[in-house]
Amino acid sequence: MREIVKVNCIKHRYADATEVSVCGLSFVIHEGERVAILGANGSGKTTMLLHILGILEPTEGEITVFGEPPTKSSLHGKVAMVFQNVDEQIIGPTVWDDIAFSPLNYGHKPDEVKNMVDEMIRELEIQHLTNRVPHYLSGGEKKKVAIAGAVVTHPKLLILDEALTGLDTRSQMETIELLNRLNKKRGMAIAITTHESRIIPRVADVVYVISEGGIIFRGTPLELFQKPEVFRKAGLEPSPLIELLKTLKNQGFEVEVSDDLEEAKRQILKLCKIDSS
Amino acid sequence: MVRISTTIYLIDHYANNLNSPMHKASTLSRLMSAIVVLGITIFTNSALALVAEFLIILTFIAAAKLPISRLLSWALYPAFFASLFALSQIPYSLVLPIITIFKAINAALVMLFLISTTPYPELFSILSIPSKTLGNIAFLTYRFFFLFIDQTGERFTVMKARGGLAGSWKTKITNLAHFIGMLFITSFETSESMYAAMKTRGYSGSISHHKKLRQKFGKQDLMPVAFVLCILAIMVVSTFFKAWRVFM
Repeated sequence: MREIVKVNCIKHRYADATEVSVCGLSFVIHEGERVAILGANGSGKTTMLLHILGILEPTEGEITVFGEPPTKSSLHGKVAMVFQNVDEQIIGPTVWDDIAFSPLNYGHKPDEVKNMVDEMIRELEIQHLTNRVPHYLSGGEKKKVAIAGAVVTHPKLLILDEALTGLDTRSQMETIELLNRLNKKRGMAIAITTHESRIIPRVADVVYVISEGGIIFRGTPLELFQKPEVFRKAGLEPSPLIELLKTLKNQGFEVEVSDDLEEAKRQILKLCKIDSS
Repeated sequence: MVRISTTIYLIDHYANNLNSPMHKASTLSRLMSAIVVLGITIFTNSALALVAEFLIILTFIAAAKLPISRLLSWALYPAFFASLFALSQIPYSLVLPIITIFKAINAALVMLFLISTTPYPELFSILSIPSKTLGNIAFLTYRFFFLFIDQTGERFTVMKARGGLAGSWKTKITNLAHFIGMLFITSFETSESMYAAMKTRGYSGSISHHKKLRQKFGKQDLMPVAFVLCILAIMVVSTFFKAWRVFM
């Protein structure tokens, strides 16, 4: 698969002299890949994303997006982002206006814009929100509108900054399902930052763990969950499910460590000699 | 402060979420009807005509499914200041104070009727006709304004909950100054975040989008037209029937 993002040890100095660096392992996103960036608050996740978007420029280090520096205008429309606080992202006075914001700015004709927005609204099943005013929407609805506004231009990469934080479980699941659907249907790569390890298996094929200014881990969710020391180093909580299965395995029980809830349930019931069917 | 934001939210809610023939009318017909009625109100010097106009405005407010008592209570603010002026007119005439007060109430009610049936972006999209920049400003300020009043409300509640308004007047004033300072910093940060979000969405200094103004006149405009015709009818009647003038 083709590399679409590559980050090599970047450093950024903010105006207040705070220095944030993301070094260690290289950060790479491939075409169509689902990537999670796990790290505690203040670890540099958002700084890295803002560099990928070209909003920040590194004081040191190298970053390429689709083989070019991310500040190049040729990348417009290829990379989209859903911010942590979607209220600051939704600009239009109505949902329709907001989704139309990017296509209009990228110079599409009014008829094209109408088709793009209507198609997006149908795809995300938010027809009931079309003429609603954003500040009367629930958190989950706002998140969907923000995603619609971001992906309406069919970007190749969607970046989400703590996009699932603050949502109730149902809205989280709906958003995850929506993201996975967009990933499968469009082949759109997704990069999501989070500090909640329990959502990782549902949203990512590859996980990066950032801690103390460096990428300390790269691997699949399952590989990550088998290394509780990585979680400890990053100041995060490991998955209770994996911890349980590992403990059982260490104590001599015949179980395979898995991040799949159904599989874990089957194995535990088997140990207890209860027929799960 | 919280009261102001509640009022703004209510007006926005009426404009966006109610469904009446007036809400369905085109932006231009609503705006024009309000301007015509406002003009008539300013130039009318008949107390009875103004009272009749007041009753008609209330009828149309009810027909637009808007709460009369609430709109009336908002319209009483200008009426209060008008009544101060009206008091000074009592020694010269008893009719003049009535005219002064009803002019203020009617004008306020007409404007409230307009903004409670027309969402802000639609209303201000008219600005995009003379100047695209003005239209863009109106488009962008709408969301920012509601974010701002949300932040203001939240911070004010926090300050109250932490006893910020419980001490002496000196402490209260100091706390309010801190509150305004923090609000300024937060607003600045919010505007920066919004700009970053807009940049990622292709914003490069201009937006071309004010679709709702371009509605055509049609059957949906019957209510604003009826509103203007009713008011005009009163003025015609009050002008031509001299018998009415005997009472004024």
